[in-house]
Amino acid sequence: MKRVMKLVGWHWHFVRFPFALLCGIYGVQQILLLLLSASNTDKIGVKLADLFMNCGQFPLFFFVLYLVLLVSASANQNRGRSHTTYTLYTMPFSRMVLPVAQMFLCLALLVIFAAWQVLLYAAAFVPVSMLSAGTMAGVVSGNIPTGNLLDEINANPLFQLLLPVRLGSWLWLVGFFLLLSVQSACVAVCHGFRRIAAMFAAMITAGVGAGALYLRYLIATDHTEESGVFLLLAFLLAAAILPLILNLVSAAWALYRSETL
Amino acid sequence: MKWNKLARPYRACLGTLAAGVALLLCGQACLYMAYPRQAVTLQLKTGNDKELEGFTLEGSWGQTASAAMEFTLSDGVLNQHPNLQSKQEDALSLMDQSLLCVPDEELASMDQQAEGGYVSGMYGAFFLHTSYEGMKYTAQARRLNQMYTLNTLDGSNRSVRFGLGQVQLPQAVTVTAELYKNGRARASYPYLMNAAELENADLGIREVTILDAEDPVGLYVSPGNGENGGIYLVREFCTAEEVAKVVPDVTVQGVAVPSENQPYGTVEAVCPLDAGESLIPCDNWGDARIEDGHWILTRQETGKINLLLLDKEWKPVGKCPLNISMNEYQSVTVLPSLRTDEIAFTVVDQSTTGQIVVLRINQNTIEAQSIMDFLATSAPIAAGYSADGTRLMTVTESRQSLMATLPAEVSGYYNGGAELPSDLSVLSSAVTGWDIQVYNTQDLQRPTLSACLDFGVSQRWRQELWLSGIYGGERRISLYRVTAAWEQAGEATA
Repeated sequence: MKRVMKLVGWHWHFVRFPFALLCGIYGVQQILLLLLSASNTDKIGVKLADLFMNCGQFPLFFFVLYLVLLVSASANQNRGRSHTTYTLYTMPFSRMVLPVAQMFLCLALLVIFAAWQVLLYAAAFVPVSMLSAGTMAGVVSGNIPTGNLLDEINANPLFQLLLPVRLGSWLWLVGFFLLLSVQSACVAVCHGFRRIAAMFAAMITAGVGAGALYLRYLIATDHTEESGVFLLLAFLLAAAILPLILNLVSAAWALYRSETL
Repeated sequence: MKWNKLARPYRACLGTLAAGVALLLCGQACLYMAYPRQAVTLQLKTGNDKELEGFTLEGSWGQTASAAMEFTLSDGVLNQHPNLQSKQEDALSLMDQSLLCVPDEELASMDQQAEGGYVSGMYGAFFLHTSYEGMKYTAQARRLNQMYTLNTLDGSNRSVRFGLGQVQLPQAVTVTAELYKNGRARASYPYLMNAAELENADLGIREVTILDAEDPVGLYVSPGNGENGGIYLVREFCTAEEVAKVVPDVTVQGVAVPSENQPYGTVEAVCPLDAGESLIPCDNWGDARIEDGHWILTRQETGKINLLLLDKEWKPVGKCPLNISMNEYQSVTVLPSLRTDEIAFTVVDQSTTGQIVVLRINQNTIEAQSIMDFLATSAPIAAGYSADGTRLMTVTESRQSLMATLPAEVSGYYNGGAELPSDLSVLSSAVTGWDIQVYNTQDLQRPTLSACLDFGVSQRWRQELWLSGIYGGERRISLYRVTAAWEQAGEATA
């Protein structure tokens, strides 16, 4: 375990700048889009949660999660600077350490990115509401009520997913992150053309997995009992897990041939 | 590269991760702590809070479709708890049809006098459309069978059909038969007409009202056609396959079509009404419950109003005459009762005042009765006696108004593109709580206690209401409601 954690630390060192850059660009575009929407007179009275959804930040968040997965996997593409590149040759180091460390690294990055999104949203609340109220005051005169952050968090489906209050929702969120992390580990150990194929399979898992996570949220909130919806959920889950199985086989083959090294 | 022990990369990683996890946990804690558990407050305006003893008022403040804050005001003590799982209604979704059909033995004579015409058309969209063609025959008939069909819309394709007697009309009406060629794309049917087309009530056509859509389905059939009204229960629905087996084919213009005169399924008469007695239609039927049963109001030809107490199976267990007068223009609304042995309803007409009637039932007889006048602008939403029956509580909605002025150019944008000549004033009212009044049953003029349950309406909801003014939409959100006593009892047993 100590070796795994050491490797996670080293690989974190390699990816911290690309990851910070990704978080930064995501944050800047989100704040900019929210402020631009809030200053739009066509959107008077639309609150932060709806502005967030209207700006397309909900699907974008899941797309950036996929980018986080790739950034995490890129740690192993380090042109010989990685600790592993020589230790795996020279030390009595199990090959399984590499994918396990990659999985933990990706899990950590995903959690940090989710926290970053919560922070961004909370930080955007005050300026966006002020700007929105100012825009409305320029157009409408009257008793204009203001909202509060808790209402905005409650009204935003993304935060219903990221800040679950029930055990079932927690398990789904952790399961989704684990799915992405395992895919990231597979992408990290594959090499050459198969790495591109693994990235593509990981994209399917990320997209369909996010769809399944959201569908499960809709099922839980709407208390639906229609069998068709559950069938769709089962189909989405199968579509998310199948590419994972393919990638696991591919990664096992890559590890066996030590082609990563 | 030499690393300082403190600056080793995994420490930075662990530190950032810890910060991230801490932030997410903070979010959780914030959601937990900021949850509006004390959103509802009780404010005493006049009177002593001892007056609230013996009353239990339960309600819910819905925040979304599924999440609600439930609160109970019991003996003057307010308790609240969130309920994130809303209850599922297990009511069937039903579609009914009342048809007047030509008796099977007269179809041949109809065929002779019928005038035929070619019918064709198509339905569906784009390349998925289906065309149909066939013949449509019209004829004149005076003697018709009234048949009532009830279909379930839950996908199980079940139905029940029963006859409501034969109608002899004073003058002939036009009946229509439609016969189609290409299979079951459109169902063919023999000569019939929809009973709803004959609006005149004097023809003896009986009306059917669905009293209870839960299984077993309860139906009220109005008197008419020489027969008394009554309540019927649907005991058995038939599936489409069973219907195809039971219903014989009849021949219309040489084409075999399923008969419309064949009853199927099982319907049981559980509560026949007396001659000249009819049910008084009420709004909000679902709350007309008492103990484990139901209740209905009936009117006799003499104008006398009766309260009919029924058991779970809608069988009558008691009948009590009420000394209130009611005319046909008044509408009755059932209120959710605060106790399982109480009945409350309001009677309003076009005027500005209405009456609320509260009854306490004991051993299937009326133990106490109160009738109170109210202004139509503040109609009670619930009422009931205290446990000892000495005091009466009424609950009304208290409202607040939100006002704004919208410039003409903006309102034009929001109101479907129609430019308005001047600025638009928007006034929208929101229910912000309930007003509670307690009266001594000996003196229903002056309340002995006046209090307010304030919901502290969330700003977001105010905004939504206010925007509904801008958008011109008729959005009515019933976020607050009284939980009837029978629902609470059901919860306890479930």
